Amino acid sequence: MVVIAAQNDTEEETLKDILFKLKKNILNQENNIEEPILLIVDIPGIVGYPWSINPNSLIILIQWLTENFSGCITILPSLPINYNSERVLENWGLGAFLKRENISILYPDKITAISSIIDNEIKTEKKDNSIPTFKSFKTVILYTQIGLLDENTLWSGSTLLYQLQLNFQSLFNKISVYPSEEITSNELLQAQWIWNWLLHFFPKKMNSKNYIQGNYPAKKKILTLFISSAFSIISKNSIIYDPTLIPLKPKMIFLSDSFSEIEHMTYHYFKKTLSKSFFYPIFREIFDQNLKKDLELLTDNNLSSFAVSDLIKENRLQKFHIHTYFGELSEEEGFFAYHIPDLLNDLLFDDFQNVNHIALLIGNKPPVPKQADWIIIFGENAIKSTLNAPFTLLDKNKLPKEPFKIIDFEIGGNQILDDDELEREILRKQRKIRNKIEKLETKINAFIDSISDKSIEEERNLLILTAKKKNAQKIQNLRTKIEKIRIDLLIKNEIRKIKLEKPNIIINQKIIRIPSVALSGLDFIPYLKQKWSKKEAPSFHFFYNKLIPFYQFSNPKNEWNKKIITQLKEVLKTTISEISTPLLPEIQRKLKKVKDQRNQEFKKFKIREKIAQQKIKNDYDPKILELKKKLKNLKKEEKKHRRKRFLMQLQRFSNYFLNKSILKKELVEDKEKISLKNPKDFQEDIKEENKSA
Amino acid sequence: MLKHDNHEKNLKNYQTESSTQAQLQYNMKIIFESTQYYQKNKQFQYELFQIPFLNLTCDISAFQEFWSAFYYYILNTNANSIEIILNKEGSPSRAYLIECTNEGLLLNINSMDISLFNNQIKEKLTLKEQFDEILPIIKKKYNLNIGNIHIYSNNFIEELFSIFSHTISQQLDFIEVIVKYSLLFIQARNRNNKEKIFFECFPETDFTRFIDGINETFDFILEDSKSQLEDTLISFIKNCFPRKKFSLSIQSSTKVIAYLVDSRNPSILIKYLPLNPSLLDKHMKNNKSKLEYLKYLKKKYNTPTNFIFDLAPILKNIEMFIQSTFPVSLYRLDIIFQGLIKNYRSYEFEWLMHPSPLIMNEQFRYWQYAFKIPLNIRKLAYWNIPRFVITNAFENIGVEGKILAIFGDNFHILNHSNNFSVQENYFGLLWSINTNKIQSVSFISADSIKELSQKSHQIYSKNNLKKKQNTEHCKTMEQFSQQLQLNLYPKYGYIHTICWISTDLIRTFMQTLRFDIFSSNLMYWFKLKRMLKKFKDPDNFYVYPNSPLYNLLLHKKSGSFLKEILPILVELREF
Repeated sequence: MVVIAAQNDTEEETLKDILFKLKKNILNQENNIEEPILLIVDIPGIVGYPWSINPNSLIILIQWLTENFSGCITILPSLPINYNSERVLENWGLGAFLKRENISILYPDKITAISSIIDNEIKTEKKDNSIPTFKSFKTVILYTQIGLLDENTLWSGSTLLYQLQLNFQSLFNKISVYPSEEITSNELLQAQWIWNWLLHFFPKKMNSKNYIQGNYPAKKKILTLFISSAFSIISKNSIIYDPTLIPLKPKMIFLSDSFSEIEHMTYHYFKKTLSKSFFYPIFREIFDQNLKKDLELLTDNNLSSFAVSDLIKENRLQKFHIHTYFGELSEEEGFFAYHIPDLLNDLLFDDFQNVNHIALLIGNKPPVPKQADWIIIFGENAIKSTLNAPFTLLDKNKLPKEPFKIIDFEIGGNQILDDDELEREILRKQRKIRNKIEKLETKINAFIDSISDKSIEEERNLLILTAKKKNAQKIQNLRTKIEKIRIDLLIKNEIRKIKLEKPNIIINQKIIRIPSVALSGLDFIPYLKQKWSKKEAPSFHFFYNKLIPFYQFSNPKNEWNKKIITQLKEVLKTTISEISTPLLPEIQRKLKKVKDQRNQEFKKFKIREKIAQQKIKNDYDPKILELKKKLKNLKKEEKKHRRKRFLMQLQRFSNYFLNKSILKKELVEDKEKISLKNPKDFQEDIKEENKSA
Repeated sequence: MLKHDNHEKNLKNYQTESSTQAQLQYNMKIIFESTQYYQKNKQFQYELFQIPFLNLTCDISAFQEFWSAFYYYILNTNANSIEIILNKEGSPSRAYLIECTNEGLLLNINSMDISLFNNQIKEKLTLKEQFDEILPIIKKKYNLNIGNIHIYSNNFIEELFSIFSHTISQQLDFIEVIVKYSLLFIQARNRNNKEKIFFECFPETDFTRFIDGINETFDFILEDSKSQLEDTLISFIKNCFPRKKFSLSIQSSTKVIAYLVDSRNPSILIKYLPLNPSLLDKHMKNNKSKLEYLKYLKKKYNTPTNFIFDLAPILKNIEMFIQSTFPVSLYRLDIIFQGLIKNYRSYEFEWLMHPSPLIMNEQFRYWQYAFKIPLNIRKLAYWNIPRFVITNAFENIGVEGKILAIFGDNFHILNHSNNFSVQENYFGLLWSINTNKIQSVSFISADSIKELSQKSHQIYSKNNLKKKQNTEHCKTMEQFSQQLQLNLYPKYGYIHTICWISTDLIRTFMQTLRFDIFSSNLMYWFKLKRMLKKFKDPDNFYVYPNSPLYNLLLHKKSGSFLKEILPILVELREF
């Protein structure tokens, strides 16, 4: 058993070299490629090369197989089962080639589709039409595209096998809902065969996972070829294409018929320790079998080993603040934990650039994140162990609440002010009232100016005095307000403080919980989509819509959601009863005390205000009365004078009839004189008349 | 003044009657004289002249300003140069020494003694060695430090003059001239060129490096016959050009030049527009005066649309473009397009137009938002758009692959004709991408496309599909593309994506984004939708295999697709 390696300028040439060496050195009469052949290809998502294998190389391999051995080839893409594998392969433009070469493709997603059709009362038709023609595969080729997972682990054959195991496990979980005896399609038989073949590599799990009877390969050991292409290497944590990533180019391809040896050799050439990798504990038995033997590498020229440790650091920069909080991880969660931070990084970068902290919680009892804007909890273990975590519930009163501004008006905002802020706020409000006082003062001056043309001084003085009195009353009122504001704001702040002592507990809405069922492939996306609106995350929604034809998203189950909500509500109830109820009487007592204090203060202000108003009255009223009296007298005298004049006129009028011509003249003169006279002249006339009297 | 009038007369005479050499000499003389005059008097002697080799009238001061901002991409910062023209045997026949000012303005030209170079040619010295050897001699003899040495072959000069003579006789329009000159320079810099057309220089400049890069990437330029390539490119560019009449002004810090562009006919007319000097005295530093100027242009020359662009951002974009290292990476393209989009969104800062577009009205924007149209040109996310396009275009390909872009007038014939015969001007460009870099571009000529297409058509026409609806057209295009992919495999290898793009679509795209969207009425939204509908029509655009983005476009209504995509392309957050 040897490992063949080749290095050349193009991947196609390198693959051709490898295949030539394979034919020459490994294959013989006993150990030869026989039909039917199962070709498992590494395709993690809809992303192209070097995340997935190079389609050009795949065509070359298929052509080589058909030319040299057999055309009976079945291709199995390693996509998670919810992917529409047919569409993904078409998206690569491989449809025409595979059709031309008559290659059959095993679509895992179609098996589940068939089983669901059978369940929906088309059983009989299917049963009659389909006669299974499946023959056990005699050769399996596992074509992997090498990549990086982290500092210690490569994406290699072991990753592909592990992923296949996960896929088929979830596939059979899905099918087990339906009666398996009813399904007799070729695809299902093939899937059962692959499952049985896969279990060879997982000795640890032999006890827990049963073989499916009937199609177990008769020959226990079939020819399995492992091709690991390391022509271009990239970090395969995220399956989203990023044009800024530059792959490393070791330009190597490895091939072997031993899983253990090719893994040892690949890790050796990339200066990594296999025992430190994530997959070592899973495949330990197989890896340790060949540890003592010397590895043999068949190659024409000396290959230089390639350090890829810096690739992750240099190439995949942390785009924004996604923080991971891992608890005790199960095996599946551990594998998922490799992908999810980078995947989310790529998925959410456009929409959440301004978010400071997104926390990812995976595993049993994960650490508690501090001040996270969003918390995403993956898996039942994490969900259960964090139900009572401090971040699950929020005290609404302790959340920062800032007012928003419309033009210059602040709306909302209920924060407690500290001493300086409070003093500033008091001064701001007092300044407003002081401005009003200044305005009133300017108004009174303007009023005085406006009545300066009044002829009667007493009347003018009276008007001024009454206006001044009113103004003084208003100003006094405002001055009391100024004093009141200080107390009012101080006490309001105090009340707010006391009220906030009472916890207002709500369920934290910024937590997204994703069940373990959704840990494969992209099944978690609908849970995120449910929480984030189109307006909030347009790029994320676009990605989701774009992927709909390629991925069968299942909507989050309402039952599961309801269950979680009821659990949370229970937690909320108990927390409220535990925390808030004992605090209530004390808070109410404090509130009452403060309110009483305010009322007392306000009473004092009222009394003071009354006294001040009275004083103003006392100051102004006598003066006003005096002026009013004077004005009254003046008016009386004027009245008298008018009567007198009237009588005089009457007398003249009577005389007129006696002496028409003379009286007429006099009357006209008098009239003119009277019209020219003003009230002062009248007063003087009256005085003169009094004197003469 | 008298001198000025004479110059105007001369210019007209030379433009119409004189030989190519005489005209070139006259215009070069004007450039040299005006620089000399400017050195003494700090103003230009003449107003107008013909740009050498282009037959395009231009304001001399504006030209000189543009040249001083642009020359160091073509020449070294020390612009003094020696120009050597070789005869058919390869020995120097003529040599000129060109003296320039510190600003790169051409000051003087002197004929040189050829015997100076004879030894060097005999000894077969490299250009660098020639330069090093000649440098002290020139310093001693002419008291001048030279910064460049250029060598032209006789064939190159002949070719150059033949294009120029065609330009003067007005047999070629502006696009044709530019394409012909570009191809000539590319050909001259190609080391494998067998026709002894070459142009060498030392030290290398951005311009030569750029042409060399194009030669490296576009390896097909010499493979096919040049005239066929020229014809294809010219007809392609002309068909892609929006059919409009508009005025285009370019403003530098002190000058403005205006041209009338009339592309309503197949031959594109570019004409210099003389301007009223009193209008230009205001220097047009604010937008109000610029708008006044544009109104004046509209009134005087009856141009329905009038643009004015600042020179500085144009130069910046040219610099970004010309300084690209080859093979060009997708990251570099990202940056170049970022610059272009930044320029596009900077209305009122870097460009202005008349009639004023409604979409740029701030009050109108609120109405737009009220109707849930999240389009704000001023807030285009220039940093995001190129990345978004590249990511979606290369998602299924990855960092390595081949894309075939087939251009044609229309693909209607593929979908509708049973008796298939390709008469449209088809040609394909096969882009090879390697580690996110455009490694090479191969040209697939109209004939080979025709041949391969016919092969494909024979296969799929057996199905006798009735092609009436878009979905059926798509099926036809899919089958067609599949067959084309298989046919091309033996020669070109695996092609990941085949993209059919009609020139009609490119024209509509350019017209919508440059003219329709900035219209002064409310129709811009419908025109955007109309453009998207064209993308959906397989007669104009088809992508095989259907990428996720294209798939979404096909299955969504244009309006809802726009509303979904615009929040990603426009930064709607208020900071």
